Amino acid sequence: MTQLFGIPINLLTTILLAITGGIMALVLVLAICNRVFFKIGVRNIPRRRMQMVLIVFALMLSTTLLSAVLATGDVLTTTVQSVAVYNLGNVDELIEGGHGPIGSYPDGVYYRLTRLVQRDPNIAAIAAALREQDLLVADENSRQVRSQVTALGIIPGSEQGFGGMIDPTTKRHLAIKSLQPNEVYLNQTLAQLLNAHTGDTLFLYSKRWPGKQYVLHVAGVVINGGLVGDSPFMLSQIQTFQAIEGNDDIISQVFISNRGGGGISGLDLSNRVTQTLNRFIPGDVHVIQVKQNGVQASQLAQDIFGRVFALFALFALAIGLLLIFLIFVLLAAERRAEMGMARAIGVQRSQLVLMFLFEGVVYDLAASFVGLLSGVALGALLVNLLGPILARFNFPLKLSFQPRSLVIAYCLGVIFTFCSVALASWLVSRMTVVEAMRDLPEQEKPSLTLGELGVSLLAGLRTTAAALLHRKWRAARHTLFALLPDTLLNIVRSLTLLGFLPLLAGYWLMQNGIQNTQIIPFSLGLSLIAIGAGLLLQATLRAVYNLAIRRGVAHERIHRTLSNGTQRVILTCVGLALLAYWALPFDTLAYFGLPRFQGGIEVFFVAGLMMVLGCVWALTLNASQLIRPLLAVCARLPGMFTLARLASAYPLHRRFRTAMSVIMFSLVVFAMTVMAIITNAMQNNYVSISEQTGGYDIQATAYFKSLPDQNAIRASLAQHGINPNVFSAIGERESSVVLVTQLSADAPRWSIYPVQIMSGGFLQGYGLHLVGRAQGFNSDSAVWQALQTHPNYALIDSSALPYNPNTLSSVYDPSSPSASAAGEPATPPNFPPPYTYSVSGIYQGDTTFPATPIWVTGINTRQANKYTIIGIVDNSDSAHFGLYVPQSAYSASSIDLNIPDFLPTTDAYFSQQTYYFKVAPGQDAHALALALGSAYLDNGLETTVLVDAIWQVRGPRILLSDVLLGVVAMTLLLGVAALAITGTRAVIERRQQIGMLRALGCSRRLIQGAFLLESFLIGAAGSILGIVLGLILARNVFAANFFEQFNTGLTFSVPWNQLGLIVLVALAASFLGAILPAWQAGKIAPAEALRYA
Amino acid sequence: MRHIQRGEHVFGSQLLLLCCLLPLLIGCSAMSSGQPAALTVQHAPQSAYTYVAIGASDTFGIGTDDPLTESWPADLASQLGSTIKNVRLVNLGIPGIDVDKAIHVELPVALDAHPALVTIWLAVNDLADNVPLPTYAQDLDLLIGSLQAENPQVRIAVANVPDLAFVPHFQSVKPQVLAAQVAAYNQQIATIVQRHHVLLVDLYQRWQELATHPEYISDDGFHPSTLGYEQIANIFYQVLTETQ
Repeated sequence: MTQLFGIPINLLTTILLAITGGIMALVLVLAICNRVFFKIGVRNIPRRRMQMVLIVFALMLSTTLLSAVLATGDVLTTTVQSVAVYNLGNVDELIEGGHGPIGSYPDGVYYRLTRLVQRDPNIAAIAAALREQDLLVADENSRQVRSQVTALGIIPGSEQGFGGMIDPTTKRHLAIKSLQPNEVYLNQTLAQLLNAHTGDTLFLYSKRWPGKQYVLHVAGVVINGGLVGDSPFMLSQIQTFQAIEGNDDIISQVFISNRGGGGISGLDLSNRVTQTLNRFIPGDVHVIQVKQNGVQASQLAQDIFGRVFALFALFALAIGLLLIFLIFVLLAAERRAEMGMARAIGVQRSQLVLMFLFEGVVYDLAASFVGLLSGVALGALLVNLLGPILARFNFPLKLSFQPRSLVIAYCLGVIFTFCSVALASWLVSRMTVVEAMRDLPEQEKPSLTLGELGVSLLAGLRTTAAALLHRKWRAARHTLFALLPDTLLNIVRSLTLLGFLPLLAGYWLMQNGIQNTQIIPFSLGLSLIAIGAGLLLQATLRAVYNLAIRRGVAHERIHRTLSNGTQRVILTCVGLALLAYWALPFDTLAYFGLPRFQGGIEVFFVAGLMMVLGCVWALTLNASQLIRPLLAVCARLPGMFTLARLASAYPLHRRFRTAMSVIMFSLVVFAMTVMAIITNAMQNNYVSISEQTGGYDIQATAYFKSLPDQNAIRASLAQHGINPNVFSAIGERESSVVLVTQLSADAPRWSIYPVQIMSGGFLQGYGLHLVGRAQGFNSDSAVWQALQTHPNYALIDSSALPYNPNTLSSVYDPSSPSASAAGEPATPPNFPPPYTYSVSGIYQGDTTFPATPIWVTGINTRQANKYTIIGIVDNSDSAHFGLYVPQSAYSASSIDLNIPDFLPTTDAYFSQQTYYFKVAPGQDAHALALALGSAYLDNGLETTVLVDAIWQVRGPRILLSDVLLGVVAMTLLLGVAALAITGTRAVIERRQQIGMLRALGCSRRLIQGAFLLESFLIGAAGSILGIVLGLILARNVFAANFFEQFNTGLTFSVPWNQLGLIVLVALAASFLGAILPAWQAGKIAPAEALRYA
Repeated sequence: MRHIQRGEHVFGSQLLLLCCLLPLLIGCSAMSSGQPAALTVQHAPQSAYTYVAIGASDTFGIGTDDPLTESWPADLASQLGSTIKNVRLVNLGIPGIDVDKAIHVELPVALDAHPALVTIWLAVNDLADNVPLPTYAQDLDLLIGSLQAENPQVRIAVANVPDLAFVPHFQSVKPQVLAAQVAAYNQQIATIVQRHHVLLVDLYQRWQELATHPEYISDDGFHPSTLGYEQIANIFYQVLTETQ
């Protein structure tokens, strides 16, 4: 994470540190000045050990959650950066440019640089090489072929500064200078792909040398790293490739390693080193900061994970902080009677607050440290659990935590604890002594009017001034620090309850949101206006009723009934309005003529929080009405009515505390629901390998000559000594480029698009997943059957579908990178977008559509043919671009259109024949891939095991998906523990009431049952709310196409099993949390419980 | 009579049976062929006047910044829109295509579009590729004839070769050789146009201002520029309105 709510993390750390320092200093000064009250406050800690343990444990959980999430964020950031630079070995900068097809320039550039910058303290090493790309290598001994190999002809000795060449088995250093001109080293990746060993003979081919082949011998295998990463590389003396190029003094690359020892440690020096190099290099070459560029590109590519993680972190923060608040609200409520007693013997309100504050701060200081350590331990555990995944794509990852994250976690814990304690104690200290001592609810006091408060404020100011003038310091302190703040707070309270302050603040926020087109301030402003309007309406009605009573028009009793009912209706409407507004899809406002607002992923967190608050508000106000049906049902069951009545009495009586518990519960379940849905989509998309391979196991591409066609391939396999039955399906695909026009479009014209000519297993549905089909086809299998029998039917990939112009495309988040920048192109790579075909009349997300005729002509077809699109192929992984046509519809004659401006900038699409093999159960895909390559060496058949290829490409994303899953598991674990604590505290704080009930004659079983039922009711209400609201929000996240701007292909699906498990675990935790204290409660002797205070 | 009644009865029974079996047969046939029972097909938007432009890179709009909107057919469609309601352009221009390929690639699509107006400008690529004149003439004749055979009401306008002496790409060709080639092509075009009673858009004669406006040719020295396409569209429009 680099920022939270738009604030850079570094700045946030400084701010939090400053606030924490201020709080610590304030508490210290107050403790020194009020030593007696400090002692009284702290004295509570050893007296109530069980409570203390629970509070410390809850606070520890909060800090653990915060620190574990932030520590995981560090792992995430480090992973992204390390993966980006790992493939670059120890190279920080490259000097490239030059002339000709390989960008060569004189080797004098390297020698001059070596001389000039050898004393530069920022540069560790320089090397130079001649690079040849896109080579095709065939190993005569292993009979395997590999394409896209890069060869580096290195100036001997220059590689030593980059760590040299190390034999992976003997760990012995190998040197370039010891190679003969016809010898090469292979890096581990290439050796593995070719199944090559020392002594093997290699044949080298390149499109740049048509008709030529060069013979080389493998002199050894070297570990990935140094000058090369984990792409397939071969290394030789520079003379080998200079001879091939016919020029003995050229190079094409100079490599620079910065001081710092590889990895990302030398990144900071990149700008300085570039400046130095630029002074000495000629104009036809330039410096590329490969590592810095790589890190930036990788950050963009993995940006989606950073954003999702930020959302998860915010939910975890909210749960942690709410737990702190809840704990202290409950504690303050429990201490109310005690505080009443203290007030009765002359303790002042401010002193009560201080006592409570000291106690809270001591709890926090004790808990946060342990919480931090356990958070770091959880983070470390997560990295350890990810070990096998990292090993799968040969990537080393070290555990690294930023001290900054620990500081943020600790500071947030301290600040929030302080604020919670201060607020809770202040609220409780506003008590009527007698009511507090008897633990009765506060009676509604007639509040002062604004005019009276104004007069009181003026009087307070006058008194203060007089006290200061007459140097009556004690009186001045009292009025200045007790009377005036109290009056001011009362004014603020009155203005808030009258709706004025929420209306003003809401208006200001809305204006701010409109001016900056920011959705969060706008929506918060709108919510405040709704709250303010509700309060104002309520106050107006109250004033009207009062007037009516004064004039004798209405009776007070009627007024009271009406007033309560109206108030409830108004406030319920406000709560429901909040829920409805925040449950709306993100861009709904744009339909009403408002500007299109911007918003990051944080908007979904705020929306979630507001939905929960609005809903719980409405439910709490109507709790009595909602509980009635339950009581009515229970009234018919003997024994159950008393139980239900008893279980519902406390939640209905202490609505604020009940609401807090429900919010806590629903927030945990809500966050879990949203997280589960998002991670489920990611797991389906990235981690499910079989989804990505489409069911096939081996891909085989023939480079020299085509394999026999689909009908003869099985016979050919048998001829080559391979049992064709080891493959359960074989599909063939040939790529090309076609011109397409659609006469049903508004302005038809020819555009280009890749075409995939399919046969075999592809026509039976292997390898392709349909996301839409033409009206009239009832199933996917009907589409596949139609393709087999109708040569003029076709499919097209989902990326060719535009967004519906009548709907808004996606969340407008200007800070998010484009899909292409994130490595997920929305159009076929290298196709010029203005000339690339896009379907008309079928839109993204359409699952049924009218069959769409198109005209197609292509490089390989002599005439235009009319096809009808009957299905949409899922291209959510950006690997299935194309118009899919059956082989039988395709003729192979050529008309060679000369349209260079019009065509893609790569020839990778043209006439590449690719076979796909699905291996029968029990067969080894790797062994069969080698066998296939060996059997068809003369065809130049390159075989790839698709699982390996997907791990290589998608490894980092799989890892990051699993990291997010780990965060979900961690949040669930800690959230559930928080619920258990809440359940436990709810019981042990009511010990006195239990005694009262026992004294009144309630049986132990009744009390135990009532507590468990109460716990279940709160848990069930929270779970239902959490699941429903979580589903709504998750649907909105996907409906707003938040992920689509990254072209991630993540789709909304509800993991019901996981959600069921979450609810069960949450309910069980709450139940278990309550069961022990309930059992203990039943055992308490009434006299003992009543005596306890 | 009885025989007839019996025959009617048999016929009626067979008809009833056929009526019952017909949907089943259709269903089976659809199933066996993979054809769904009711395939809804997307149709072209309603248009009063469909205009099809057959041509090569210049029809496509190469040479402009935005070929989609700045090609001459786009300009012409816009001008036609001032007098005819709801004009719909189908631009079939393919860069690099000559008449022979256009017959296979563009003609079938043009026929499927059921146009009211077709413009053809296909000569410069054939000339540049040294396509023998008789072959060119035969292909152009076939193209226009096919359009007329399928849709006798269609209005066809054929453009000839402008004076290529002013086009930088052809500067390397001897002027008299180029002039002779252009004249021969234009002669053939005029003959075919006359034979089929379609409109000739004489770019050679009507676009002589190309000599004084080098900006009508784009930076590639071959294709017209945006301004050049506007001029060509104006000439087409003049011919179409003059002969209405």
